[in-house]
Amino acid sequence: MRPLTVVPDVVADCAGIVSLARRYRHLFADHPDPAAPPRPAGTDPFDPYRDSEYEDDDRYHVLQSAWMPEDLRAAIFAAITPEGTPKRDYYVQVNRYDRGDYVLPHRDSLRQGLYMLTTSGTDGLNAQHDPETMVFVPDRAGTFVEHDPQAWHWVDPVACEERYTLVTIPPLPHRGDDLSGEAV
Amino acid sequence: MILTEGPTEVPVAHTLPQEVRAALEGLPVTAPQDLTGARSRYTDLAVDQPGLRDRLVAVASSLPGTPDPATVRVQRHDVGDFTLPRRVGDTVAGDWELTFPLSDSEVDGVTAWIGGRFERVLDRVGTGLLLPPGSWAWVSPVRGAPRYSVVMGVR
Repeated sequence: MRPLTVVPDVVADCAGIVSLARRYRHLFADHPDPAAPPRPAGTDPFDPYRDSEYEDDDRYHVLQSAWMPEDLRAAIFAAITPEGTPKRDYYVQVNRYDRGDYVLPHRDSLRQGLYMLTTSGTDGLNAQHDPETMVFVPDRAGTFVEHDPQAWHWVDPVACEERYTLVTIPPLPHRGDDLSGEAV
Repeated sequence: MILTEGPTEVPVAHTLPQEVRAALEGLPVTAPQDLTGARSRYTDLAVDQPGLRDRLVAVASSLPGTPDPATVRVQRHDVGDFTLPRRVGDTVAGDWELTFPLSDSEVDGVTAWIGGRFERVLDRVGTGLLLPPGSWAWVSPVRGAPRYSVVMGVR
C-alpha cells in the first residue's frame, strides 16, 4: 500500500474556484439521486464493499467533468498545473458538501488526486495510511491529498455550512513540484 | 419494551470516568481486523469486576430495555485510535447496543445510522447512543484527547 501523501498550498486560488463553483450550483448532481425510486424498507444503508462508482448511499453533490463549464475548468488548471497541461488528459470533478453530508467508508479502483478547496476547524478526510493506521486530514484550502486507491477513506457528516473539494483522475501535475509530496 | 434508536440521556456518576480509566490502565491495544486490509485500534476490556460492572449497568437502568451484564465493555481510544465500521452485534451479544462516552469533546464521537441517515454524535458525558441490532457505527481517528467510553448490550 502506498503511504498517504499530504501537501499543503498546492492550489493557488481556492477562493476563485469556489466562487465559480457556487455560480454553477445548479449544475451539481445530488447523491442520493432525488429521482431514484425509494429503496425498499430494510435495505442496508451501507455496504463497505460496494462498487466505488455507486454513490447513492453517500450524501453530497457533484459537478462532474462532463458538465463543468470551461471557465471553471480553466481556473482549476491555472491554479494547480504547469502552463500547457493538456486538460483533456484528466477527469476533474468538484464536490460540494452541505451541512450533514458525508461520503461513506470505501476504497477506489483508480489513482486519484484530492484537493481541499475550503478550510474548516471540524471537517476533513479520514484516510488509511497503512494496514493499521487511519489518519484524519483536516480541511485546509489548497491542500493536496493522495492515498493508495485501495486505502479505506471517508468523510464524516460535515459540520460546516459548506465544504468544497476537487477530485481528479489521475492527480494533476503541480506547478514547481515533481509530485513527490510528503508521506505523513 | 420500546427502545428508540439515537441519542438518549444517561446518568453518569462523576466517579465513573476515573474508575474506567483505572480499569484500562496498562492494557494492550486491541487491533481486530474489521475491514479487509485494515485493523481497528483501541483498548478494550470486558468488565467482569462485579462492582464496576454493576455501576456501569446502573447507568442504563433508567432506559427502557434490560442491560445484559455479561456484555459490558469499556474502551479507550488514544489520540489517533479508531474503530472501523462495524455492525452492532459484532462484538456485543445484546440485541441492541448502548454506548456512552465518559469524556466530552468538540471534535470526537461516534458516526452511526440514526433516523434514516448517518449522523455524527459528538462526545458529551450524559448522552448515550442506542443502536438497533445490525446497524453500522464507527469512531473516526480520535483527535482531541484520549476518549473513554462504555458499550453494552440491551435487550
